[in-house]
Amino acid sequence: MGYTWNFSGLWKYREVFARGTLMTAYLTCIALVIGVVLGMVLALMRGSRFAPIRYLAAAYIELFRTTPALVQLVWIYYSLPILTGIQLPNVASAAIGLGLHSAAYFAEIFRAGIQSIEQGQTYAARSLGMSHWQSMRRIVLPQALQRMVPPLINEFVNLAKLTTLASVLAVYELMQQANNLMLTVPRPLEIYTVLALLFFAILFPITLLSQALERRWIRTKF
Amino acid sequence: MDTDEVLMTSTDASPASALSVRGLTKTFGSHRVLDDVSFDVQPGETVAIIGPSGSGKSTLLKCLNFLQEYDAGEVRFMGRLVGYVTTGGRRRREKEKNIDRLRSKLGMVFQSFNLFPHMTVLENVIEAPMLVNRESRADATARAKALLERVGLANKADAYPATLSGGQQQRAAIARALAMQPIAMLFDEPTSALDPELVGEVLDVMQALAAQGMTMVVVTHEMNFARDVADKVLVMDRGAIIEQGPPEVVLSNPRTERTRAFLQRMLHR
Repeated sequence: MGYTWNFSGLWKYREVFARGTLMTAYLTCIALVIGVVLGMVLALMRGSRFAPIRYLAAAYIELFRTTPALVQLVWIYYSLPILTGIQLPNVASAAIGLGLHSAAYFAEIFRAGIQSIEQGQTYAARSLGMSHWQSMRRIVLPQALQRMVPPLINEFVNLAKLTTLASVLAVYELMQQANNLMLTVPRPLEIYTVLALLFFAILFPITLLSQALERRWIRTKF
Repeated sequence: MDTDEVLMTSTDASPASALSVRGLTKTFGSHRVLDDVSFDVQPGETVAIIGPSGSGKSTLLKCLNFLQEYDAGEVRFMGRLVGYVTTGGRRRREKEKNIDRLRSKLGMVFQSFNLFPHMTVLENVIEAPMLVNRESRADATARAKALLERVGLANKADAYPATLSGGQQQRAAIARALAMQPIAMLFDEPTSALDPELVGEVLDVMQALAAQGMTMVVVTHEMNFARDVADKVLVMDRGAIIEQGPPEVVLSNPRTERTRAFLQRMLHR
């Protein structure tokens, strides 16, 4: 093959990559908080005694799981102002959009985790006089959380990679910085490679940590 | 209002009964799991419920502390209607807080123990007294240790449930239920999940409890326990009580053919 790889020209743009990494991390964190909190609320709503609350949560989850994340971001940035008059800045649109998107997946993880706890645990807790919330907080969730950690970290990694979609809203995260840099340095293959390596360098240790936790918890008896 | 007040402010029904069940009926879809069940449990009495599997025994027990809702009839605990309030002839679900309070005075022991696996035995026992009754950790711990002593598990306080035998787990579960200082105890086939050699240690604890005057409703397949410990035996079949009376009558001289057939099967297990 005739292509000659040349990464040397990219070193002086390391600050560009650093800024992109920071923005990617920032987007991931905000979206993660929104996704986890809203996801937990949705999961608890799905367990409600009141049917309308259950259906509302189910509808949300299905809507956000069956439409493309890219469309959701674009929609929040461009269509929301038309419908409501609320124009969010691009970074906020991306963070909220990704948060709303990931909430649907987090909700399913939480729901599966809660459902994986035998009903006998709830019966025992309630028979002792604990309220629904007390038994959730002290008995069900602590056990469920442990089983949820591997899928939660998996979803976190997905979310981190999804932040590259924010480039369509001109948010200067890694992907947008890379696209922009290509206008100056015509080395797209090298630039994308560096981008991929940065993602790998950050996310691979996290997946290792997840596997280590999983192994440790399988060894302890419950 | 504190718990005792809630439980004692009864207006109607026979206040003498600890538990009083009248015309209790429950259906799952088109299947009638409980069909017009009526019986009483007097304070200090031990009532054994026997009958083939699927006859509604466990569902009945869960209706007594409202872990299962029932469709018709009534359950009264210390004279107070369980799970519902009646206003103007219409029945609606009792406030959750009141249902929780009532449950805290009606201990329950399950076939599969249902200890909390993420807590030590001691933590299992002190959890509800601290969380529900707002007891201090010191008070709850002191009583928990006395209870564990009583069920022969003083040396297992810091063990996790998974490291215990089935018999030890069930005795811990009994201590956990007793820690709430219940007025009555419900046992749902407490020895059915145990290896045969571990059944005795659990029955011994239950027998001692009965002897100390605890009011108990015990769903069981242990005919010897029913004969020796129970004051009254109920026989259930297809959701209905087909026979009830003192064990020496029901077990030795059953009136119905179905009871006789069931007892025959239990003998030749």
